[in-house]
Amino acid sequence: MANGDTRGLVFDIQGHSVHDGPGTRTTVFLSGCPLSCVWCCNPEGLFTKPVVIRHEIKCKHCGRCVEACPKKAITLDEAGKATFDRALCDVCTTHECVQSCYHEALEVSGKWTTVDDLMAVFKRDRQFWGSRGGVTFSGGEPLLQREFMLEVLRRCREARLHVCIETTACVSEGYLFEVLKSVDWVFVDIKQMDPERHRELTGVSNELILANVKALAASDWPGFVVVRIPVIPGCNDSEENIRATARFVKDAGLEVVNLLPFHRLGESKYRQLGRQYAFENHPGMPVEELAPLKALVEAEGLTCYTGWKTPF
Amino acid sequence: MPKKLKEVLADAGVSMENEAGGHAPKSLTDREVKMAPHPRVEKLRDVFMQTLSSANNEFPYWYTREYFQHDNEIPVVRRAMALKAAFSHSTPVIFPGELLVMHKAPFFRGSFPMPWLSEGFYMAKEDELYQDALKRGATSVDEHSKFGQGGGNVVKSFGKVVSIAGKFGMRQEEVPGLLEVARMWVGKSVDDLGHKYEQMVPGYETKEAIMRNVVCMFDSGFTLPQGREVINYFYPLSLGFDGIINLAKEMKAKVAGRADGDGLTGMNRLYNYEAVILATEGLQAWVRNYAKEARRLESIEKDAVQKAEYKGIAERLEWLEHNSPRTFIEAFQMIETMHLAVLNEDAISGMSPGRIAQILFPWFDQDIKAGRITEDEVIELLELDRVVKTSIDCFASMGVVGGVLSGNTFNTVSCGGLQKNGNHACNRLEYLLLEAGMRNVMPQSTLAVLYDEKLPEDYLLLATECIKTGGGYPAFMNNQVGMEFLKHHYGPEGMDIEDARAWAIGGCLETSGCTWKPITLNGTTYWIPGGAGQPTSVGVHFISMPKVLELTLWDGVDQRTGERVFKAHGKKLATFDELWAQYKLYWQEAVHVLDLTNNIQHDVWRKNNMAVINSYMKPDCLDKGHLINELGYRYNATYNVESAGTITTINSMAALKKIVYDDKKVSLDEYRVALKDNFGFKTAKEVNSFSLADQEKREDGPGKWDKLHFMALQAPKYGNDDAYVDNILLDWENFFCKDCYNYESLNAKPLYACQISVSTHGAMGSATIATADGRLAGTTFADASMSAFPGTDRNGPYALLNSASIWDHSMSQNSQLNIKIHPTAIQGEEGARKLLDLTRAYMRKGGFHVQYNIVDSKVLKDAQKNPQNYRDLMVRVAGFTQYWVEIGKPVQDELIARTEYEGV
Repeated sequence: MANGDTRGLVFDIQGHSVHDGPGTRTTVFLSGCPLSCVWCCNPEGLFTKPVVIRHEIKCKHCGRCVEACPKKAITLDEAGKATFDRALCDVCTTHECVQSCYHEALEVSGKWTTVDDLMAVFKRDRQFWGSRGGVTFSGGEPLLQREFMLEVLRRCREARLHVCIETTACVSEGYLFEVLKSVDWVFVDIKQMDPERHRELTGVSNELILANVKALAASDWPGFVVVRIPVIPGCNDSEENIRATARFVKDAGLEVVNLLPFHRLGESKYRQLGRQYAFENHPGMPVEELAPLKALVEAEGLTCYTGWKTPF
Repeated sequence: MPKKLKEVLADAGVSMENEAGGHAPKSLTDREVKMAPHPRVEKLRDVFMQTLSSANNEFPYWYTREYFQHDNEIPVVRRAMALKAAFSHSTPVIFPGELLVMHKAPFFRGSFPMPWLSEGFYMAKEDELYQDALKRGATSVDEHSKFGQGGGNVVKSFGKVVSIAGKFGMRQEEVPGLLEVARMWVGKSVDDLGHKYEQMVPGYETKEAIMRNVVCMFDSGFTLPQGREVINYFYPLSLGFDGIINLAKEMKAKVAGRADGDGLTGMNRLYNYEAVILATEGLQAWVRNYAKEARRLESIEKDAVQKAEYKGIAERLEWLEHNSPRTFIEAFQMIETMHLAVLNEDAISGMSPGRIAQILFPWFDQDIKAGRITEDEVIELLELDRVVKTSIDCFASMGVVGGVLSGNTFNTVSCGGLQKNGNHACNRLEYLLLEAGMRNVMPQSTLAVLYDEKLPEDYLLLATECIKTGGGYPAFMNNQVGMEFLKHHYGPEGMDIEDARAWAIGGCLETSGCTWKPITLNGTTYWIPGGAGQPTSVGVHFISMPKVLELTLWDGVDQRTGERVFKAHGKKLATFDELWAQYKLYWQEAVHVLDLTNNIQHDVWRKNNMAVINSYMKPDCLDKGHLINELGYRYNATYNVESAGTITTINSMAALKKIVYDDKKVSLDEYRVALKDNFGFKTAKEVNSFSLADQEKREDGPGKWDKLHFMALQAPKYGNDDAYVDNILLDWENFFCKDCYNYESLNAKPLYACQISVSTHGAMGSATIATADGRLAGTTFADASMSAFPGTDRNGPYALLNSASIWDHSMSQNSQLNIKIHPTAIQGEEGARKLLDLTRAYMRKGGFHVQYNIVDSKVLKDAQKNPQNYRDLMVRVAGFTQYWVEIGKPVQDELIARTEYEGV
């Protein structure tokens, strides 16, 4: 039975979050995700355990972590630079290296957080949100940690907090609707309409996602749904795909699409995790470039916002 | 069915006007604020941008010449005679396009020295006077204070222009004259005479050591004896110059030869009124000379439009030489004239006009109703006022003007707030004032919104939009907290709830006592607010809290200079409580001796150099016949104790408590060695950056102090809603705010706490070795009093605001919180609302002040590298806005380092 001591893995909490739902909010980022999108801007959220990240710029290559690591995952190369074998590193659960580093170059991302801990943060933060704010659960996929989330959401409802989730909708329909009982607002991504292409880009097909969106639109759930499309160069930015997505949204009976331009804010995190960033050579997309796609969505009779210029 | 967009937007207060399918409201597209000033304003602003600060000897020459002709005169009359001569001989300059005329000195931008205050500091380096001044310690802080190298500052001599006080250019041929005039004041200036007597204070040696080692920044009495106050324009506006002279003449007849029960100062009233008359005659001559100049220009001007404008200027000045204003523009001119007059009377920074949209409202109201002026013309004048105020330069030593003020003069205008009757004060002119601030973005006058729950939402949203212009204003001050402080502190002098409502900010952040006066214009009476208190931010100037902690740890010896400052305490500091208690004892010792010595300096000032013009404008001097020196002001308990480096000290205390006393990881002795060794790092000066992030270690590889430095950085830090450290702050505030009441000012009133750093966190940081919180030697302290140390507020703004509001801000004259926000976080109308939500939440929790820097750190870094591309970039420093290029490097580095909230 879940209670206040039940723990969830949280990799970030952002106060004064202004782009994740109505008003000003506190956004909680939960670890774990059923998808693994090639452009993911929160790659640390893909882990289901705390993981070490490394700020290379702060590293003085002093070698203390080499001595501290019981897995022998860190070595000094010929030039005296510390290098990490991430395969060994990523399965570590003890993270001795972090305590050994005096330069704040190593850090654990992901913290086991109790329901009570989170509620204490909300209790403080709600003083500052203003009347229309609340909590947003993001990730990763916020619904993946089922027992924890159901308890957090129950407590949020009890505390009369406005709750928003940013979900992949890649969960079972029954569970989704159970969650929604305590949720006021949903951002759901439709990343690609073609199931096969979707699988190539994210690792899973989109069938469950689309079915859930349809079911949600047709339900008597009294909240609000915004469909988001992260527009990624060469992945889903064709006119054909955007038009198909818009038609799907329209046919489902929803009315608002938010196009988000591709950005590179996640790039440094790949470096910190010792991973290759797939979009090394792609510049960020100015929001103005979305104008033609916005026109396509609007042509389907939908309301379309681009970037952060939303009325909520 | 899931909710419809229309309903969602309705919840958010956005109307969709029932459009089919729904469209985004038009107002959301491209709302970011860039407005153009009126063309005439733009031209004058360009003149300002291309003008260097100048200084000459005209005013000091005539002042000094007249003063020394009246050796035996009563001091107040003698001073008024000197002022009259100086004003009468000030050369008028009027520039094409100006509508609000008159300048401090015969330059667009400039000032002049006042050797009667202090003659030592602007003498040439080889001059023996300068050497003497150095020895005195007062100027040792100059070494730690630098001006920005760009903009209008003349930091180096060039051609035939000599750099004076690190800021002004003076023609080479004037320098011998300056030295000649200055020599006349040797042994006679407030500085010299005050110094003679302050040495008689027991413990004076401690005071000298305190100043030499930059434990305190600046003496009070001779640097900027006035300012940080709100001016009062009521008498000139309601009576005019002739009216004031007539009133003074009538009063002279009433008081001549009479003590009226006051055997000590009753008789002085006669001389005081005589001084009022003389000084006012000087102002009349000054205005008359400007009128003549306008007539001269009219006679030679070919352009018909400009010719007519000169004529209008001449007519207005000719009227105002004798009479009270009839129209909005006349009233505005009177305000400008009086403002400059007061600033020429004494060395002043922070002479705030106060709530000008309340003060000018009678004329605005009647001119608009009568169709004599349009709102557009009013906005143009309000924009022009920003050029006038930004062009004002303050002449004091480099240490004061650079290290404390960053060259700013703090002519802060307050807006919002309440009326005398308790309703909100947001009249139409208040809205236009904000609009002018958005259209002509210049550092002065910076705007302070007196936030009250009663202010209309659209007004607050407009104020928030104004922040988006990048001008760094308005700041938000908590109206009720300010009133609470005033009622408590000035209650014994009769402050009631109505007078409390009249308050405004004097200087950058100083809550100042004001009062209401009735203006009757064409039969209608309006109550206008204005200053009624003595200068604030006088008395015990900025004491460096981290330096006091350094002295506590080392038994009273400064670790940068090796000099003993306090008597050895001889304690082992074996417990945290013992350390904390000893810290407070040293603090009290510093405050005590500085209070006594500054009382003497101010007493010399008020005996020989008292304000006449500023003084008689303030209630209730003209009624009582007593000027500032005889406590003619309504509120006289204005002396304070200023702290600097609060958060750096609180964090250091927390680190010592955690590492040494609670966890016992390191001994205090070892900690001391590490601090002296700067944790193995180079000094900030070697690295030439004053930001902690840029510091470099002395050698590569593992260092002896790496672990301790890591622990220090990881120790609990203020701004994270962590009770471990926040409770130390709470304890400090309760000690500090109450302790101030143990000291007495020369006015026989208790002191109070003032918690603004202005720019001292840069200069004082430069003189302080490493601190226990992990800050390295020479780097800047945390700014203000409620800002987190850059980069240490890791839990976001809500945690910071919660930490900041742990104590009762109404115990102090002010508190100060600066937050840097990335422009993307406040985009659009919705962004403004969210920023307002944040501000409102902090105010509701009792926070006194918050201000926002809406700027991308990347832009600031580029501006540091390429200042030539950023002449008009402005940033919010402490309680004020300043051009980036005119700010010294330590503060620039700190601004870049401040934690930036992106909210994305």
